Amino acid sequence: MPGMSDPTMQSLLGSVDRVDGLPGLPADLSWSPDGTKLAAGLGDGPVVIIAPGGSPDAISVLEGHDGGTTSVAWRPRDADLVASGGLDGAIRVWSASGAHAARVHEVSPIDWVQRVAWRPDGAVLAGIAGRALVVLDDDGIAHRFDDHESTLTDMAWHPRGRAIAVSHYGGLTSWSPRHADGTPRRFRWKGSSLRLAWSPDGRHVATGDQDSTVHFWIMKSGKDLQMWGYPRKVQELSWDSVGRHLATGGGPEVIVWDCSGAGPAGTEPVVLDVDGTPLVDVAFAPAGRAMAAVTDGGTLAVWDMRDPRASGVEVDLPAAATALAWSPDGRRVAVGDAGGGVSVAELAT
Amino acid sequence: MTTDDRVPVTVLTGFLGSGKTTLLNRILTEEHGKRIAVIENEFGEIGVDNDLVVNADEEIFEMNNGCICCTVRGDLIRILSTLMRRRERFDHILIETTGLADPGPVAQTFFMDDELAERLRLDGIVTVVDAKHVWQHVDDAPEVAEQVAFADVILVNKTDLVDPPDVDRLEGMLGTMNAVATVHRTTHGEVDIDAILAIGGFSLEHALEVDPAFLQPTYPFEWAGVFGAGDEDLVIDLDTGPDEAIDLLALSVSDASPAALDEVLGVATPVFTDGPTAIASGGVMVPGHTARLDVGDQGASIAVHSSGPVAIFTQHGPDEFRMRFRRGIAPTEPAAAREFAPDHEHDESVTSVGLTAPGDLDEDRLKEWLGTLLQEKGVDIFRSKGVLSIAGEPRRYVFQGVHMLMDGTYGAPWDGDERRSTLVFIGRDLDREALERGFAACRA
Repeated sequence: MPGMSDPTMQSLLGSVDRVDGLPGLPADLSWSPDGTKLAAGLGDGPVVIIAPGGSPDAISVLEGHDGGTTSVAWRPRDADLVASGGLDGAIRVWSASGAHAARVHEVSPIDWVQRVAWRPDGAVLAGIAGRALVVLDDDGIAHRFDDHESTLTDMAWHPRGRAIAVSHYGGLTSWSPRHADGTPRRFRWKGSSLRLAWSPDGRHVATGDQDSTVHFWIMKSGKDLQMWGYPRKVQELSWDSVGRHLATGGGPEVIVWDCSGAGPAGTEPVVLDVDGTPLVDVAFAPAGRAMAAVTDGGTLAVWDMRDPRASGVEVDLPAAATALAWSPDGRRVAVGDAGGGVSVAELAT
Repeated sequence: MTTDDRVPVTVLTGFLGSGKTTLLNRILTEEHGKRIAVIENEFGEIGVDNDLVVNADEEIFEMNNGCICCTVRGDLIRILSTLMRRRERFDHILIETTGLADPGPVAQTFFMDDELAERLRLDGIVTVVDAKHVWQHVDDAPEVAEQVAFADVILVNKTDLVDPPDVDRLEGMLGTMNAVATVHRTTHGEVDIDAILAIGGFSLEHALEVDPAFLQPTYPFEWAGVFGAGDEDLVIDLDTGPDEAIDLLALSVSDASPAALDEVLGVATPVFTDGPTAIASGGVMVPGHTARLDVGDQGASIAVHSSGPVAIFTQHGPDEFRMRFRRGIAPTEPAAAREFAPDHEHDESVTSVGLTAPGDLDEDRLKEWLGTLLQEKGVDIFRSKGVLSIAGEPRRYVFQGVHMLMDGTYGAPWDGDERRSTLVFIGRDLDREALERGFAACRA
């Protein structure tokens, strides 16, 4: 993006398109690797496949999960397969084109599936349900890790797929599926970790917690730093593409920590205001320098993080935001809303 | 915001076998036109078509600071915030807890978690008790007392299996534990749905509704009756009871009327506690002196040396010793009788303390007192409620709390009504005298 000499005169965002009339509210969004399609898991059950910018008829509705879909994940390096989890306690893998029959993996008869995530190479899929972490390959459930003291709240793969971290009441646990009979690494915090994010350089895992704190775990040493003073529980977390900056929610503002060098302890974070708080999610673009945040009041805010204070733009959404996802190239950001729609905003330059 | 559009939540507690599941099934199958989401405990087995049923695992989240008021139910936060992500809203959410669940963390969840507090409101806690078996449970399981103490509504269920006087006695005990809960007697959980789903127990707009009898001072006796005059002495026959002895007092009255009984009530209290005289079975007691009758393991009889109208005060309820009254050989009944809330219900440490005073309270002293009290005793104070008259403030101050958490606001103006402050604490091992002193010190 050359020559932003006068950022206030130049909007960061170009057009915003919205697809509406979805049969439910988007609880989670995931882009196809080529950025042409978007999968939305609806809290009311179905999984829908949208082609942003295409005709409205291009929406295909998949059955999804009885009771509600909680998570969707498009398979890396694959134009067709989308995994989802939901209240029926199953992980399902769909063919977006409809070319193949969906595969079903029953994970739990009681607990619902909270999150699904592909290993970054797309070869293996993981999911969490209740206290169990399961790892699936082409033949079905290959590993099942049940040894957790409470229900799992979130999960993330190591950026190169070496391990899976899960968050729960009492901190973090990290498993290595390649050494399935080995013992996990435990990272203990007497509180409930709700959301986690593994830094793209693999060195840190951040958690957002029920007790209104953010934890910054140094994976090599097992030590952690705690960031206090958030007004609410923290469920919004995102690393920038190189693992230097960590954006956090937990209230009315986006708070961005610089985690380079000795870490964020003692440093002053960048604080960014957004309209229509509280925040629903924050996300750095996986490529480039943009960051987005969405709110319960129905605002999408986007910043150029080279100069966030000067570059912020806000877009009004027709309803409260429910989900947020950047396209893999970091050029478009999709926002689900409580009006049953998905808006896609494109960066201007 | 003028209307509260948050979805109401009802918490259903009760010991195993109390009839909770039967009640839940009734609520769900009745034609009430509401869309209800049910969060069942992990042992629940309900299958209902039109409503959503989710299993919960009763996961308690304690926070690092160890503060009891920060203890919440993580499973409920997770389940409820997921249920909010649907287009189709529920009209009501019903949470069933296991028999051993502590209602505290459940209630606190709706105050502590911002996300839930914005979207949901706790309407009330309904506790189902088994009229037949609750006695043994109250002694064995502290959870039962806690569930009774937290309740906004208590359903005394299975009353068809118990004699009516025993249900009366049970209701009396429940009343001493929790003086503000509404009690319904039921069989097979048959109760008006609105009595369960539209309670407003945590609504500050609902003024405090307390049984006036509860706010009266406590008495050292549990029962009193007046008897008309007769030719022969009044004789009381007693079977064995929970204690080996019982204190009894007779006082002469002008006539055998409720008014005459009330007249001597003030005299009865000091006399009753003023050193009773031991009297053996077959003995005679004189009006105006308290007798301690040895009942032993045989039962006992005692005569009252008076042929005129007389009031009898007894340390325990007549049914506890199966008391019978006669003049000579002719059985007789009291012309009027009253029951009094006992000072201490045998081993039961869960009680309600009600405080009321006319006039205003000083705001600063009240804040200081309440703040310190809830901070120091919040673990033992399960619920607190109050409608207060603050000096210089034209409106009622209405508050309520769960453990250390407190929520208050100014409500309806006093206008011409008599200004008065009323407070109720429900909890374990409450020090009534200390509460009375603290409250009195707040008066403006």
